[in-house]
Order: sequence, then structure tokens, then C-alpha cells
Amino acid sequence: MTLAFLCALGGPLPAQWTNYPTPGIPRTKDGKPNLAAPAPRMADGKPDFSGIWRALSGKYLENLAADGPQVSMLPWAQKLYQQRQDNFGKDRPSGRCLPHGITDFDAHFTPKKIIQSPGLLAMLFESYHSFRQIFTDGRPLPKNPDAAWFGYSVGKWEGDTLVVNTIGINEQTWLDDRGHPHSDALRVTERFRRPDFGHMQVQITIDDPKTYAKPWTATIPWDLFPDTELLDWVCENNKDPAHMVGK
Amino acid sequence: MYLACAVGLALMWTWAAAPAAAQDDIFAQPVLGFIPKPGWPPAGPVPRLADGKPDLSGPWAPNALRVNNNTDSQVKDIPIQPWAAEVLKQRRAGIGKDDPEGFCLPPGLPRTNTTPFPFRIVQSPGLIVIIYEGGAHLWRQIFTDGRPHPKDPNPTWLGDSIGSWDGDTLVIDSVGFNGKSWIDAAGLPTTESLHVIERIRRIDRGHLEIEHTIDDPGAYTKPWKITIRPMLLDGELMEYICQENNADVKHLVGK
Repeated sequence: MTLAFLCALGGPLPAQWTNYPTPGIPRTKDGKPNLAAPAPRMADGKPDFSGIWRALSGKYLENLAADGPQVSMLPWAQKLYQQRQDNFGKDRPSGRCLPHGITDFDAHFTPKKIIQSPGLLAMLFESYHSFRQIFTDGRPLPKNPDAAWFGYSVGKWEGDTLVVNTIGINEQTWLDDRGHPHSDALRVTERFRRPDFGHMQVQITIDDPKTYAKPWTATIPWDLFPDTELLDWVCENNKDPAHMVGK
Repeated sequence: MYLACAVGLALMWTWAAAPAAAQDDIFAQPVLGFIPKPGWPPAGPVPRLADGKPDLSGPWAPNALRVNNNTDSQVKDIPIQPWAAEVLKQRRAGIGKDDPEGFCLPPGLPRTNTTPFPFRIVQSPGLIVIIYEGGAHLWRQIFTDGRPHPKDPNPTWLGDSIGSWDGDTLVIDSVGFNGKSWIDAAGLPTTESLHVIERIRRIDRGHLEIEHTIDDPGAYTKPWKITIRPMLLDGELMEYICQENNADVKHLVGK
């Protein structure tokens, strides 16, 4: 395993998360969280996604196309994708404590917390101590947003599904640790659905006509991670990039 | 963003070099890179939530450059212990080359509230979150569901924060720090015994007041206070990722 890969993996997986019973959570008779209970709702009747979540599998972080959708990379993208793998991911931004992209964070197995407040859904990521804002106050996407690591995200409800559109994602981000590339034309559509108390489905569509011949989709399941809290995770070890040399 | 940062640093140096101002003047400082439009910040009463508590949510500009640069220019007679005064002197002589912020590390408390970067307060039942544009692009959680501090918290950059209401003032109590953070860019130190109490009050629609009590018997002989008055931001947080400029670390050599 290369150092770059270890860096991208982030914190030690078997870390001890704190044991704090989440208030207001439905429980079975034995006191365990009832993950099959109905999803909670906000006062306005919309599903409430608040809580700590994680993707149990790291496979989508490693490869967003792990489930085998047809990914038709244009030649320049195929070349760059191959280069990144040949170099053991030495240029992966997260190896230098730079943010993961939004698809990476959706796929990351470290916990994330959603706080759903009126007009704004905030995501706190344990890894990299980073956050993301999704505006749900009805504003449109900006016409010409500044390129940003997290882009600019607005969400709207389609029934019980929150549809989040993101543009303005800076071209330094990788879609996954393997290095699926993208251009400034990338538009990410995430469809968040909470079928029951303990589960979330995150369907991601990658639409980037400068990089892929047609849009492709991945669906990442999240499990609720109850009775705990996010830990303090700071990417402090920024001395290692000098040793990430690739080929 | 690199340019903005360079300009910011230049401005900070200008302010740092200015003679110490009277305490009250810190509330009249311009916000870095932000010239309020006429009529800003908006006037009016404090907005309230359904439960009657003040609504603190929104984007805020800290307006506290001098505090961030040289806290001792704003707070008279900081009760600093001799060893800590020596550390401060050494850090000043080193022109801040070891400042954790220079390495994109979290500013800790109280400094995370006084860096030039705006922050947004998100208020939800049982939990208040503060997200920070820069200083490091990070978040803080303040639990308001009545839980106590953990008995033996892991030392962290931002500590463990619990909040409660004292009338219309949110009182945040934080412990469990790692002692690595600096209180200001000059280098006022902290230790693992740091205990910070923030009293946050929305004065009116356009202003917050945050009084920080710094209680760190490891470095100071008695608790002391830093008060800032953030202004409502006309706009959204931008994205500032410190690590993008981290190629500069090797040039921070001090004297």
C-alpha cells in the first residue's frame, strides 16, 4: 500500500468513537436504535435527514464506478485517469490535506453529520474537519460561480427526495481516489432519500460532457451511525507529501 | 484567494504596527475586504425562534483584526504568567513562524472567532453549529441538549463545547483543549488546562457581541476577557482552503 493511499484513507478506522446516546431516537425493547422505524419528519412535513451517517463500504471512495455503470471517458480523460493510477495517486489532493470533492465525501466511510435547518442543509465531515453547505431556500444556482472545491450547491424537494444540484467545482478535485477526472463543465446531481430511520440512499449522477460521453450514475448507501459523536480529525501531517513520488 | 490573503496579511501588518487604540475602538474597525453598503448592517430588533430564544443564525464578520493580531493591544494588563510571557516574547521575535495557522491548523479558541474570516451560525434543536470560512475551513459543534462535558475528553484543537441560555445570552463552555493553539497571531499561549466561556448575545439585527473569558491557570494567573462585536455579513461565506497556499511554509523562517 502506498503512502498516498494511506493518506487518502485518512484516520485510523478502528478509532474509538464516543458513546453518547442520541436523544429522541426510536428504540427497540432492548434499548437499541430501531433503524427500521419510519424516517423522522420536520415540522413542514419534509423528511428530516439530520443525524450522523456513514458509508459502510469504502469501495465507492476508491472507485465511484465500483458497481459497473458504463463510464465513457473521452480520450484526454482516459489518459489522465491512467496516469493517476500509474503514479499510485501521488497527486491526489487529499494526500496534501486538500479537501475531498463532494462525491468523495459522499463515498467516504468516515462519519458525517447532517444538520437540516430552515433554508440550509449543512454537512459536517469528520474527516478533514470539513463542511459543505446546501442551500434549500429556493435560490437558483449562480450563473457564473467562483470555482470552489465544494462547488455551489442548491437543493429542492421532489416528494420525499432532496435533489441537490452542484456546479462550479474546481478542476483540481478527483471524483474518487482512483482519479476519475472532471472538467469545469461538471454538474453533479445528488438525490438523497431516507427510506427508514436507519438508512439513506444517495444517488449521484455525473454529468460532464467535456469528460464523459454521457452521464453516469452511482448509488451509495449510508447507514445511520447513532449513539456517538464526530471526533476531532485534523489533517496535521502535511510533511509526508515530499515522500509521495509515484513513478 | 492567494492575492486576497496577501492583501489581508499586508493589512494585518498595517494594523499591527498602528499604536494601541482605546478598547472601544475595536468595535469601529472596518471589516477586512468588506466595505458595508449604505444602510448596512440592517437595523431592527433581534429576530427570535419559535421557542422565543434569540435567533443567532446567519453569516457574521468577526470585525476583530486587532484582537487577532495583538490581543494585548486591546486588552490591558493580561495576567500572564512569567513563562508564558517569555514564550510570547520568543514567538514575537520569531515573527510568528511557528503560528499553527501558518500551517493551516485549526485556530482553536478564542481565535477561531477573531480571525478575519466570516463564520455562519446554524441553530438547530439541541445543537448549534458554527462553520468558519477560513482560518481553517472547519466546523464547531456546541451541544445545547443538556449533556455535560465528557469526564476525560481527548485533547483537541477546538475542545468540547456545551451551551446553555442565560436569558437571551448563549453561554458556551469549552474544555478539553490540546494546548497547541495560540490566542492571537503574536503568540499568547494556551495550555491543556484552557477553559473558555463565550457569552454570545445578539445586540440587534445587525450585531452580535461575543465576550470570551479565558480561564487558563496553566498560562495566566486569573481569568481575563476578550470581547468582540461581529457584524452581520452582507453575503455568503466564500470558500477558503488554507492548504492551497501551504507551499509557503518553508519560507516561514523567523529570524
